[in-house]
Amino acid sequence: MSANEDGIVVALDLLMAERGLTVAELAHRIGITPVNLSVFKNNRAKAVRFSTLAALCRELDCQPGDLIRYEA
Amino acid sequence: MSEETPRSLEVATEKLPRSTSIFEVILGLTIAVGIFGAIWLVGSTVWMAVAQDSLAVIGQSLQPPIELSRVPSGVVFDSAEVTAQIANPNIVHFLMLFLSTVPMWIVMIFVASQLLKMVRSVRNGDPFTDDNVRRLRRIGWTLVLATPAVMLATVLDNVLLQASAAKSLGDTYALDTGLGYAMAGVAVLVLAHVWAVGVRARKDTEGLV
Repeated sequence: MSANEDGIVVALDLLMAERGLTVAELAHRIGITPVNLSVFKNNRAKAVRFSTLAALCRELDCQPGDLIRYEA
Repeated sequence: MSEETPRSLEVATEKLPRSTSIFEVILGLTIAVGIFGAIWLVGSTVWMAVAQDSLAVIGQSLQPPIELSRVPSGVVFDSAEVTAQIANPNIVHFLMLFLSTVPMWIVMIFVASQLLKMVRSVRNGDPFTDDNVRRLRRIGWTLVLATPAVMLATVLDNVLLQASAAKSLGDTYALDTGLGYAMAGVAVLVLAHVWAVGVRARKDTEGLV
């Protein structure tokens, strides 16, 4: 998993794989489009709403730090 | 790239084609009229230069004191408007007659072409771009700068034509300030500034999930 230009790494795909969730299913559960969830999963997002982050943490039963981390 | 377009924007642009087409037609007609008018202007000027042996310089205001013959005694003028004649005019005289209108023809065609490009960007689904900010700024500055251009053309027009006409007219030329165009230009520049802030705000939210 490589960092984006800001040094942010998104580990959503690992968490989804551990829980056996698809993009479409998780997107439906957290209330955003599969396209936008795919953008986030593939580390092409420029920003994340707190509401989206909270919904992801709720559905994946994790903390924000489990989803994203910073690499210099 | 298109799959990342926010759903709200996709819905908004789907509703636009009819009004977009109407604007395209209006602006296309404006450009066509502008080009036809320019051709007509040149053509009629050349025709007049060939066919006429005198040129009427119409609407010249006279300031007091005014001395006119064939006027009943007791009639006093505060001001008057006369038609001066230039004998044996050349083509330069005829071109002078239209000098003050030429800048506005150019401005009209230029502004319409810029607006047409903006409307086409709406059709393409993304009008909030740096290109459209630049187009708005060009329109604004063109309108602002057209004001001194028209004033200069009007003064040159009056001075040079009247110099060729009767000397008794003196320096009685009128000055068309054209402040309406300048104010329109300022309004467009303000809109360009607001548009630029909108484009920047949009860039901030691109890729937001």
